[in-house]
Amino acid sequence: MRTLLMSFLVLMMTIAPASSFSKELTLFERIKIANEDVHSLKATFTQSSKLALFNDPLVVSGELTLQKPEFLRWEYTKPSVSGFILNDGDGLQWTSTGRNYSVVRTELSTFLRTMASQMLLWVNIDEEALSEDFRVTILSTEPPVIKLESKDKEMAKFIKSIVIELPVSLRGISRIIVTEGNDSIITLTFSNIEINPVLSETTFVKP
Amino acid sequence: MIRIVSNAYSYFAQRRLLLILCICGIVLCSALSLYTMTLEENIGYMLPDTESRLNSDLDIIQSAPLQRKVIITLKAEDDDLSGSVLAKTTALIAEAMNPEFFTDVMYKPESLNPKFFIALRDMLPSLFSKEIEQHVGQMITEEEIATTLRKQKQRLGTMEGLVLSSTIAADPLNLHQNALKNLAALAYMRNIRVLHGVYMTEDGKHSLIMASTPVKVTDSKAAVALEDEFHRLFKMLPTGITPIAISAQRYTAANVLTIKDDIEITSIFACILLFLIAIIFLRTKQLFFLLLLPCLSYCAGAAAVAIGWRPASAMTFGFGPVLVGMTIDFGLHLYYILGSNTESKSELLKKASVPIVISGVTTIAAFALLMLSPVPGLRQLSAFITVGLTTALILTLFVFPHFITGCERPVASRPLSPSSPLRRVVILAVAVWFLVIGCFGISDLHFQDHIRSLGVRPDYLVDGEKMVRKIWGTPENEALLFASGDSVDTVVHNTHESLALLPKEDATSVIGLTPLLPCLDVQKVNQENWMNFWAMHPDVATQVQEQGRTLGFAKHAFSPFYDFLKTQPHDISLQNLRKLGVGSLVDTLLVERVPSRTTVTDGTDISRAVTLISYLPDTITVNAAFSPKVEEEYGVRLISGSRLGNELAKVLTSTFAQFIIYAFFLIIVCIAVIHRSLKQCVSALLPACFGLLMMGGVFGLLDRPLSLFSIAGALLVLGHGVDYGVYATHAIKNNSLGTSKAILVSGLTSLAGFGSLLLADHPALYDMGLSVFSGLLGAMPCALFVLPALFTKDSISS
Repeated sequence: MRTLLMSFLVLMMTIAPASSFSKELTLFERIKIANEDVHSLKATFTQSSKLALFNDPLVVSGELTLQKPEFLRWEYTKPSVSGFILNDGDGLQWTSTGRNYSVVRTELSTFLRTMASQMLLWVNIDEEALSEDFRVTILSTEPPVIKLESKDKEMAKFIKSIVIELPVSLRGISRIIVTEGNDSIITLTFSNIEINPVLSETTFVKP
Repeated sequence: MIRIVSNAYSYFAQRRLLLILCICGIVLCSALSLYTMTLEENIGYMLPDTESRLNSDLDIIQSAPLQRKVIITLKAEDDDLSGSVLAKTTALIAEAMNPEFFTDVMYKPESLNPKFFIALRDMLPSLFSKEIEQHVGQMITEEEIATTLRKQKQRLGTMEGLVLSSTIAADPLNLHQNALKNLAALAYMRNIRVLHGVYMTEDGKHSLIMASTPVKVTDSKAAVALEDEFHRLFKMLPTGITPIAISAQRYTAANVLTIKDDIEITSIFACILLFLIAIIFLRTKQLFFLLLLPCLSYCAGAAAVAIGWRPASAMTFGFGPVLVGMTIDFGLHLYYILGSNTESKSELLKKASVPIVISGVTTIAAFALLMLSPVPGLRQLSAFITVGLTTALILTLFVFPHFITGCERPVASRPLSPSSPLRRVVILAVAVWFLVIGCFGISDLHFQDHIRSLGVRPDYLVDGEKMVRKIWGTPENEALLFASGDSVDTVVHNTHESLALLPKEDATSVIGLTPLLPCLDVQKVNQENWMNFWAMHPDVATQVQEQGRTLGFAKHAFSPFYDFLKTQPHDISLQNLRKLGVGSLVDTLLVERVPSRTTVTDGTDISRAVTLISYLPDTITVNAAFSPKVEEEYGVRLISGSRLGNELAKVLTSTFAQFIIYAFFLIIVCIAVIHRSLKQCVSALLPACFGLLMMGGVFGLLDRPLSLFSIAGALLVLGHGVDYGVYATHAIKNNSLGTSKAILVSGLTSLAGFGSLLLADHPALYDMGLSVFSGLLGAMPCALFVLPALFTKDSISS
C-alpha cells in the first residue's frame, strides 16, 4: 500500500508542473497550426493607393497566387494588365496592351524582388522570419491584426509600416495596409480566397 | 703580375694556414652580408632609373587603382545553374573571401538610394550640353508629355508605385534619364547588369565579384599566397560553375611558380649533365676545389650586392650561372696547366697565370663598365660579377695552387696535334658556312616590343583575360590617360580639354568621369544653357499640370518639379557622386592621395594630390593626338601598350645594346694592350665575335625577338668567348693540349648549364639559355677548331 501511495505521489509530482505552468497558444502558434496543411493559396485583390499625387485613391485589381515556400504570382487585371512572378529565386515581369503579353524582363528588378520576397513573408506569417526584418506588434487578436515596422533604416525610408489583417479562421489573408515613408497609404484587400487550389503547371512560369 | 703570382706562391707555400683562414674569412664575411640581404622582384630594376619615359610610365601605372583590383567571374556551364543558383553561389564565395587578401568586396550594387533618380535630376542643369538640350526639347512636346504622364500613372498603380511616387512627383517627365546616359560613361564593363540582386550578364550565366587586394604586384611571396587563396575559394564552387580570376598579382604568382618549377627541372637536368662531364673528364678528388671556386666567388659577389643595395634585385642572382660559368673556367685552366709535368709547379703557375689574368682582367673591365649603366639591375649585376670574378681570380692565382696538384692524366702534358691542310679547309669551310647562315639570321633580328613579354603569361590567364573582356564588354587594347593636378577640378578640366582633341569615333569610346563630372567652367556654361532653355519654354510646367489633372493627378502633384525648374542650379561635386551611390566606381578612376614615393619625370609629377584616369582606345589616332607637346600643355600622360612597347624597344637598343658595344670595345683595347700583336688580338677576339654572330643568327632564324634577358646573355657570350679566345691563343702559342682540353671541359659545363635552361618555361630563363647556348655553340668550336686551323705556334707568334 505504501508502495502504491508513493507511486501515486511521484506520478502526481511529475504531472503537476506541466499542467500548472501550461500557457495558452500565442497568436503566431495558432496561425502556424491553422496553416499547417496550407501549401498554396489563390485570391483576388483590390489595391487602393491613396497617394498625395492623386485627388482620389488609385484603384486597381488583380489576382494573387502563392505556393510555399517561394512561389508568388502577382497579376494586375484592371485597368491594365501586367504582373510578375517570383519563381524559387528566378523571376519574370510582363505587361500587356491587349491580347498579347510582352515580357519586360526575364527576372525581377531589384525593387520588385525585394517587394515580392516581402509579400511572401507577410502572407506566410512566420514569426521567426518576420522578426528578423521587422519589429512585430500584435494590434488585435480577434480579428488578428499584426503590425510590422522595418528594422532596416533604408527600407524604413520607403515603408513606414505594414498592417496585416487575417480572417478569423487564420487561414489566408484579409487585408494588408502599407504606409509609405511619405505617408501615402496602399490598401490591399483580398477576397475569393482559395486554399490549396489546383494550380496550372505554368502558373509560376508563364504570364 | 706574373712575378707577383710566382713570389706569392713561394711565400704562402710555408703559410698555408693563412690561406685557409683567408677562405674562412671570405665565407664568414659573405655569410654575414647575405644574412641581412633582402630581395625584391621588380621589373623596374631592369629599366633605366633616369628620367626615361618608360620608367615614369611604369611608375604611373603602378599607382593606378586597377593594379590592386581582383576580378572574379563565375560562369554557369549549365542553364540549370544560371540565374538564382549562380547568384547564391556568388554571394557564398564573396562572403567567404578572406579579408587578409581581399578588401572592398563587391558583387551587388551599393545600398539603394531612395532619392537616386531625384539626385540624378538635380545634376542635369550642370550637364545640360547642347546634345542633352536637343533631347530634352523632344521630351517636352505636348504629345510626349501626355504619353509620359499616362505611363507614370500606370506605374503608380502597381507594386512599384510604392517607391516611385516621390520620384515621379519630382520628375514627371523622366528628365533624369539624360543624366543616366552620362552615368553610363563610368561603366568600364558595358555588359554588366543587376540580376537576382548581384552583378550578372543579361543571360544570367555569368556573375561578377570585384575586390581590392592589399597584395602588391611586386610582392611575389604574397602573390603566391593570394593564388592559394583563390584555389581555396574555388574549391567551394559546385560542379558546373567555373571561375575566371583576373588580377595583376596572378601574373606575379605565375612567374614565381614557373621559375620555381623551371629551377627544379633545369637544375636536375644540369646536375645530371655536369655529373657525366665530371665522370668523363674530372675523375679526381681535386673536383672539390674546382667547385669551391665558383661557390666562394658567388658568395662574395652576392655579399657585395647585399652590402650595396637594400633591397637587392632577385633577378641579379638569376645571373648566377654567368659567374659560375666564368669562374669555373679559371679553375679548369689552372687544373690542366698544373697537370703538365714538364716544368716545376712555380713555372707552370707562371704559364697558367698569363691567360687567366688576361681573360680575368678583360672580363672584369667589361662588367665594371656596367657600373655606369642607367639600369639599376645592370649596376647590381656589375657589382655581383666584378666582385665575384675578382675573388675567383685571387683565389685561382694565390690560394688554389697550394691545394690543386693538376690533372694527373697525360693529356695535360701533350702538345696540340697539328692540323692537316684538308682538315683546315673543311673546318674553315664549315666556319664560313655558319658565318653566312649567322649573317642571314641576323638580318631578321628585332627587339622585343611588348612589356608583357618580359614575364611568363600562362594560357589560362591570357585566355581568361580575353574571355572576361568578352563577357563583360570591356575594351581591348585600351590606353590610359592620366591627368595629375592639385585639385579635382584641375584634373577634370585638363582631361576634358585634352579629350576634346580626339576624333569623334575615338571620343565616343572614352570611359571616364568627365561626362558625369564636368569641370566647373563647363558646368557654369551648362547651367546658363539650362536657365535659358526653360526661359524659352515657360509653358511646360502649365502643360504638365493641365495634362496631369486630366489624368487624375492632384493640382500640386508635381510641385517639386515646378520648384526645381525655378531653382538656381548647383555645381556637381565628388560628394554628390558619392551620395548618388557610385563612389566605388569613382574611386577606380580618381586617386586622391599622398604617395609614398615622389617621382618627378618628364615634367609629370605623379606625387600631386589628385590623379584622374580615363580609358581610351589604343588606336593610332589616339596615340598621335597625345603628342609630348599636348601632354605638357594639358598636364596629362597617355600610356598605351603600343607606346610602352616602343619605349621598351628604345631602351633595349639604346641602353643594353650600347653597353655591349662599349664593353666589346673595352675588351678590344685590353686585348690589344696586352698582346700587342694583330694576329693574337684577332685570335683572342674571334670566338667572341663568332659566338655573338651565332647567337644573333639563331634568334633571327627562329624569329624570336631579343629581350632584356637575351641581351644580358650576350654579355655572357662575350665574356666566355673572350676567355676561350685568350685560352686558345695561349694553347696555340704554347702548343698545349691541356689548355685546349680546359676550353673543351669548361665549354661543355657551360653548355650543360645553359642548355638545361632551354627546358624552362619562363621567357627570361629560356631567352638566357637560348642566347648563351647558341653563342657558346659558336664560340667554343671556334676556339677549339677554327683558331688552330687559322694559326700555328709559329704564325701566331710572328
